[in-house]
Amino acid sequence: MPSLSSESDRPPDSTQRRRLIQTGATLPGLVAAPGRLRAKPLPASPVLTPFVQSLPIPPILPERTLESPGFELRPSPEPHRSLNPATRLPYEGRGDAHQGRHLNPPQHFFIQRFGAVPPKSIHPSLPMQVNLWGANLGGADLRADPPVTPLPTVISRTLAGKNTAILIRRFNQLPAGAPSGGYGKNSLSTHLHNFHSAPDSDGGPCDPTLGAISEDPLQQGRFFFPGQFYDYYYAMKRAGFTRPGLPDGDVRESLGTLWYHDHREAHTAENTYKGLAGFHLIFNEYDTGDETTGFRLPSFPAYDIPIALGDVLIDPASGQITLEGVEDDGLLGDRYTANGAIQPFLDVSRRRYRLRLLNRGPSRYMRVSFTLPDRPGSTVEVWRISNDGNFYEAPLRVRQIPLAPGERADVIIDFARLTARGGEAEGLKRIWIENLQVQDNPRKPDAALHRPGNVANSFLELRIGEPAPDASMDPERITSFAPILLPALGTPQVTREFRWERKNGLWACNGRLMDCNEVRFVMKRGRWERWIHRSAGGWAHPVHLHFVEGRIMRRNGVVIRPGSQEYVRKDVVALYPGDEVEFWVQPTDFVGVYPLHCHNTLHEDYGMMMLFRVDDTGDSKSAP
Amino acid sequence: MLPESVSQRARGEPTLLDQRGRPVRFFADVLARHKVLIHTTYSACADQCPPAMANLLQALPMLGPQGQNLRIVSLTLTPLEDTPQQLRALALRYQLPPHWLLLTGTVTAVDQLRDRVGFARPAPSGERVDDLSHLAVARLCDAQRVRWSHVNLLLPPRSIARMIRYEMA
Repeated sequence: MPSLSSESDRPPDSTQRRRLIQTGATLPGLVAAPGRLRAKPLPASPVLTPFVQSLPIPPILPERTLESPGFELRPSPEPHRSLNPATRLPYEGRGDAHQGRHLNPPQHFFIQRFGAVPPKSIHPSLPMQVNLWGANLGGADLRADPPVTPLPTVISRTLAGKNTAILIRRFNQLPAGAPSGGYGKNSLSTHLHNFHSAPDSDGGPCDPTLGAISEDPLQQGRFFFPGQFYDYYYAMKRAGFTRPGLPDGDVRESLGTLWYHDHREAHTAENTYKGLAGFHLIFNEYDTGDETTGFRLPSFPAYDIPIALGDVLIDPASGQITLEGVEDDGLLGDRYTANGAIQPFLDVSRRRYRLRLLNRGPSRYMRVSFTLPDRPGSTVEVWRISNDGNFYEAPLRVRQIPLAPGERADVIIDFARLTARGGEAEGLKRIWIENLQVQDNPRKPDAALHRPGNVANSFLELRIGEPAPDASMDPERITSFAPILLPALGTPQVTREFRWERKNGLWACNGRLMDCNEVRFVMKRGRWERWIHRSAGGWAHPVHLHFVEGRIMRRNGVVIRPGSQEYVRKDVVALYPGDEVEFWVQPTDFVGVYPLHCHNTLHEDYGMMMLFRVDDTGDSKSAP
Repeated sequence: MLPESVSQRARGEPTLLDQRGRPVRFFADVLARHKVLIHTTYSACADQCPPAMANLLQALPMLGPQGQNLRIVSLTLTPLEDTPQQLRALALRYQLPPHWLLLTGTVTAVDQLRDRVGFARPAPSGERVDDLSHLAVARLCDAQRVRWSHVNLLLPPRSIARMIRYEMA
């Protein structure tokens, strides 16, 4: 683990850990829960020198013309369900038509081909990784255009008055048979996390309303199998765009930093861990990606860097990322990664940067800080501008960023000001992005925090170089992100309670487990609902709902007010043990079936998920 | 030939007895030839086991082509009480199909198989942990991988069947 106690400033190396194991000492990390002891302790990952490789930056997915190989079957609103004689499966995995596509026909087209990633280094001292999966840039030949992980970054735009809709054709070219490394499921469903998608392109796990095909495992309507493709259509419109007189949607519903990842039912954890996750960034009229226009945030891609934070276990015998021995309560790796590499570095210029942080999971709660290794115990202040890809009303000054699995945080960090005379990092050349959260088992994060400046807890070293021109706006001068302010709240008409708990060795909500045959509750389009999330049994659960963002109104009775990092639109509600969180939501535009689930993806895979539907009638089930 | 990870678990595996008193080696005799759904149960179990067994039994006819070559294995948690005769009575009570194996054996043999499949685990202190809470969770295994997926046996039969079909596809 990055550290076994809150007092430790030294990374516990594998020798130390093994010695503790051999003596049979009881360590927090070895006990999953009372009456539920963890398996034989996982062997520690090899000791690796940090900061010896640069941060990998995922490539940007290029746009394709409809003449490109792969679009021989023209994208159409109805799925291509005719049988492909080569596979005896339908050409396309999608089971239903693209909802609302006639309003904004797709203008920009992309292709991705999922496949095995060629041997890849995640640290110079480890053997090449041979078990990872990824996606390519859309080329027809996987040898010339090999799959990569993290997945290529998708860039799209939302612009009022313009149709910027996109379509991504995703081919499944993963190897048949048992997955290498013993983990991974080669049928896929790609979820665009927090996008305002119709169910056909949401990337959900299953949909019983698709009728008979949903009963057929090879035609179930949401997965795409090796040899199949799936056309995902994204209208790129803000929520509310189907309301009369609002063809572009509500500007206050703008979305920014999203990520996309596999959502195959019962296999999401292993597939995302195996590499099937990447960023999808949405720019708009205000957040332009150009620091001379709009909000004047640091320009993409030079000074706007997406960074997926994660943790992995390395099999000391093979040097490969492993899931061997991991139980269904969660996965806590003992080596930290940034964009898939173990503890890389990033050379930065002395100016402002926008860093888009994602907790890729699968299970670890993070408390991210920017720390000064040359002044142990010290952190620096940064500006947090968004949560889950949604702008705050104005930038927040923060020193710690809670980041549960699935959550995102965009920050502005000013290396010029920090290192200048009188700055918090005056004269220093490096800053670490570090996790201060003590967490030694998947059950929950501890109340304690690590002391800043522990190399084992660091994801990434930022190496500060020479000054560079900077036309971006100083966040101190940004007093408002208007017009992207919080939408007005309505009056909830329905109250529902969700109790997230362990049951019968699986993970349940309100005592029941995920069932692909059952829609548990129905939201009415346009109606506000008040949800009460409770975490039972001493476990933490990051609860994520698809399609509908909401607002955290109260946490354990305390009203969330301006200035809180939770005073913002949210798609993940981080529950800590015993928490009661009030969350208000209102679905708009699309109808159909979506999931609500724990984003500790091991919990999700083992039952902690339910399906809900949106229609124009709704129901009022109070404990669905 | 079994892959390395499976063959490691198979090495020196215990011999158990089925409900007819025939010796059975789980890895060599069953997993090497079939896909397997394995779960734990015991004949005196009154709460979760009866619905789990009944649900699974009702799900079998709904498996379609994905059910071919799938074998069901019910492993007792109380081998001292569950003799082969007792398990045969259990099979008759539920009218289980003949290829559904109910396994018992010495306490050591049963424990060893549970360890190897992942239903029970050695704890750091050295004691074994009997995870009774897993009665409702079946594991899907094949000759490539032990425990490649799970099925929740407390779901309705149609949902169990759908999940197995999805997993076997």
